[in-house]
Amino acid sequence: MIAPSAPNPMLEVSDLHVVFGTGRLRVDAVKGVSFSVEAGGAYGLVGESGSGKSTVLRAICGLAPVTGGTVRIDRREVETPRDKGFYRTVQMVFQDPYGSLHPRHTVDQTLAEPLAIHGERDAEARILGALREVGLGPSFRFRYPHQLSGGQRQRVAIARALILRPKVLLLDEPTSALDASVQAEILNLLEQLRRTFGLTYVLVSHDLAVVAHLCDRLLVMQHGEAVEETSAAALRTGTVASDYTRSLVAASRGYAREPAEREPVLRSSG
Amino acid sequence: MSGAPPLPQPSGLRAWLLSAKPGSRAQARLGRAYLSWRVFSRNPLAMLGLAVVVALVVLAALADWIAPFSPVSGGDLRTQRLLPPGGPYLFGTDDQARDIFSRLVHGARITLFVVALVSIIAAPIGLLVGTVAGYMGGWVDAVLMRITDIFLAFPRLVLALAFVAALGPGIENAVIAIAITTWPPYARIARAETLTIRNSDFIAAVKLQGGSTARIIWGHVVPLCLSSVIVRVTLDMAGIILTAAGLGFLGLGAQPPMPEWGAMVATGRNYLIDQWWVAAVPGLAICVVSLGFNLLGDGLRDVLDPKAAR
Amino acid sequence: MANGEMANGEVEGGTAGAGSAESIRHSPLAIRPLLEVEDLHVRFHLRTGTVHAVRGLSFALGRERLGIVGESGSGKSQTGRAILGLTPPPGEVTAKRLAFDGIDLLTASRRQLRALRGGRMTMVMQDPKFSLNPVMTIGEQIVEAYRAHNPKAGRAEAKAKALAMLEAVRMRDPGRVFALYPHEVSGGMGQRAMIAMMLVTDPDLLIADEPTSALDVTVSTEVLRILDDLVSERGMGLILISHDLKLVSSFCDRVLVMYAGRVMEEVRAGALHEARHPYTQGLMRCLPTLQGGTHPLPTLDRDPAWAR
Repeated sequence: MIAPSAPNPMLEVSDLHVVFGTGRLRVDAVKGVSFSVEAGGAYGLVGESGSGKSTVLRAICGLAPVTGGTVRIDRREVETPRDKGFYRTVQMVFQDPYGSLHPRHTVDQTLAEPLAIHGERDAEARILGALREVGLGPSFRFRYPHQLSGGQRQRVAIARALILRPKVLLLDEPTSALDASVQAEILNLLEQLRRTFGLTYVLVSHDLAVVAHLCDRLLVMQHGEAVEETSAAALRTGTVASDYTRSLVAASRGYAREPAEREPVLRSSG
Repeated sequence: MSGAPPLPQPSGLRAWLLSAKPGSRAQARLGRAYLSWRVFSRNPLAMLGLAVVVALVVLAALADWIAPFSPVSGGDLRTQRLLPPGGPYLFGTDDQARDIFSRLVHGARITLFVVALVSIIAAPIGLLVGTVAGYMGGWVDAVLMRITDIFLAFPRLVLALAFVAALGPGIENAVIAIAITTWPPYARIARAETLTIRNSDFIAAVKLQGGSTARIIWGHVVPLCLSSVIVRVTLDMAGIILTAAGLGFLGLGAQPPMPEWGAMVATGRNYLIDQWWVAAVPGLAICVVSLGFNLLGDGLRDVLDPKAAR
Repeated sequence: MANGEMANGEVEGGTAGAGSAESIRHSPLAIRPLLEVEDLHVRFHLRTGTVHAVRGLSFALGRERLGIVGESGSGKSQTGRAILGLTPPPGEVTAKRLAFDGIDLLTASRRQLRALRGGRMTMVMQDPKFSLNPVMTIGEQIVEAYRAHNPKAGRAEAKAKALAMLEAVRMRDPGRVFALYPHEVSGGMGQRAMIAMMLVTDPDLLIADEPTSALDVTVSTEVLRILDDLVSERGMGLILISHDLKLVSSFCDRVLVMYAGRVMEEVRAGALHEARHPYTQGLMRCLPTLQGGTHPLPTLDRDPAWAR
């Protein structure tokens, strides 16, 4: 079940534990999750709410505490607190495009901030370049978030994540707040950006189809634990090992009315 | 420029301000300010408040030209004492034979001085304490908020009295005393606001860019808390004016012969029955200006803080 | 009343033998439609101009499952609210005809409307967290809902009814759930409690606005199954409003596809591949599939003519 380490791993997570609170309030959000992603690969984390999939992402980038286990980026173990070099390598795109942009900052300010933090020169050209990369024209540069649609906001968030030229992009449900047609556009954009810049993706989603579309390999999680690691190809052919994964696959097909169809799924021992 | 939508196009400047595709940072800011102004100017009471405050500023700035007499030296004590309103003396004269109107106009300066200085001192302190406490959490929060609680535990005028008694009477000390007693509510507001912001994704995004704590607080948290603090400060202006007047009334604020409105009411107290205008006119001025700031604050809240709007 | 009692009796067997419901589900439509909507318009008069959210919508609903699908801003939710008279203040609702079981909803008195709403027609919203009263136990709320529409019912009767209803939505321990507050239950349980509360008055029409989009996939299947069985057993009319084309088409008997306040087309459930309108086709194609669709995904080109 443990992933065979990729030949050229960009991101390795081994036996990751995340615990919030102590005593009676102690919550074990992630319990010993391991996976690795080769450079230029795309890896999916699938599960329902409370499965700890988002917490894994937040632990990788330092927004949640790593209580046990290790996280390696480019074969080097990350330090706590993360240094500036880490943030140049790893960036994240959040789920809610309405909450991830500062409401009082124009697109220009939002994109200028990372450049200012890292003392980058040539901000003017890089901001325009970043907007072009995500398919937004220069006319968007001085707009406030409330003047943008959900899809446009998510594009700005992606531009912000990419402006420092990271190698790893962590995507936390990047399309779940968007309409289906906008989701398709963002997924296409993410695919194209990965090809262009040779990015490594870790995609968290509750939607199996989205993960299977973008990722080659994926990890199914439940209650903070890894259920099984499988591949998009295996999902396609239906050769998955665990009942839980199978029930997720069944649910993603829509509503099945006939009880006869669902019973075997729940009963089968695989 | 081309492709006119069915709506009637507003004229040049307005179109430029309302453009959905601003071409520069300044245009984006001005457009936003213009939209706020449109909401604000639709509220007649808020506009009345603004008019009062603007009038106060104009009075203070042009006091030397507006006031017909000297505010400190009076006329003939035998014939010009306690004259009723009318003639050359618009609001009559006081017990030192000084023109009350002139004193009122010059008093506007003192009022404005107090109000401006208090807000310049108190608002930043409150904002800083509140955002730092709210953002850092833990023991920093505990320590800062307990200090705030200590200041909040005393009635404002009593605490100000104690400070002035210690520092000595005078308008500057009164300002410092009032400022020290005004900041705690701002800290509380800023902290409450910060708590709702600090776990949002856009703050997490700055953290992930490697932004320092100071940068996050100053560049990302403070701008969002600023509007509610500004609203609160404006609403507090009335209280500040009243406290300053109260200190003046007790003889602990501005010292004679400074034309401070509270002190003017205090001297008029002796003639309240027969020469009512001596106390009533500065009293009315305090009342009008306080009301003006309150209306302005209410209007600002509707613009800056959509949550509190009806 | 009798219908309700019967339903309660059936519930225990209902989970196992869904077959008994089968016959009711496929019964022919009543002669008079349950709900008639003709040329429905919803407009919001704002300072910045009028927003025309629903523009000339017409349909008739029998005792069946109708799906309304659309993207955000298509007017699908406003349609549901307009039928129940829940359009928020600056909104204006006009229609040639808007009738429930022959009662004209546009001219009905407030009192009449109140009795209908929550009694004979009800709504399940997206997030139970916002629809349940946080300071009342779930059981109390169901009792309250029942007694509001059956004033003669005694407390004991109402409580029995509430417990039966909680059982009908397959709460494992109805007695325990009865005494819980909304924050003490999970999202799926909250949504089921919500459904119990809405169905305790034996409504004829249930409007469900994104009832499962706040829930996990496995939980939402469960909630849908409960809705499905209850609708079949009681012979209700159901309008399921959702953004999820796949879900709606697999759950409902027929589907209205909305765009920009209009119905683009009506599709028979299970016959989505026969959809002719380019919008419906585009919506279907832009969804990623497990089978591994095309890379890149086809995107939807919106034709301005659709909105005209």
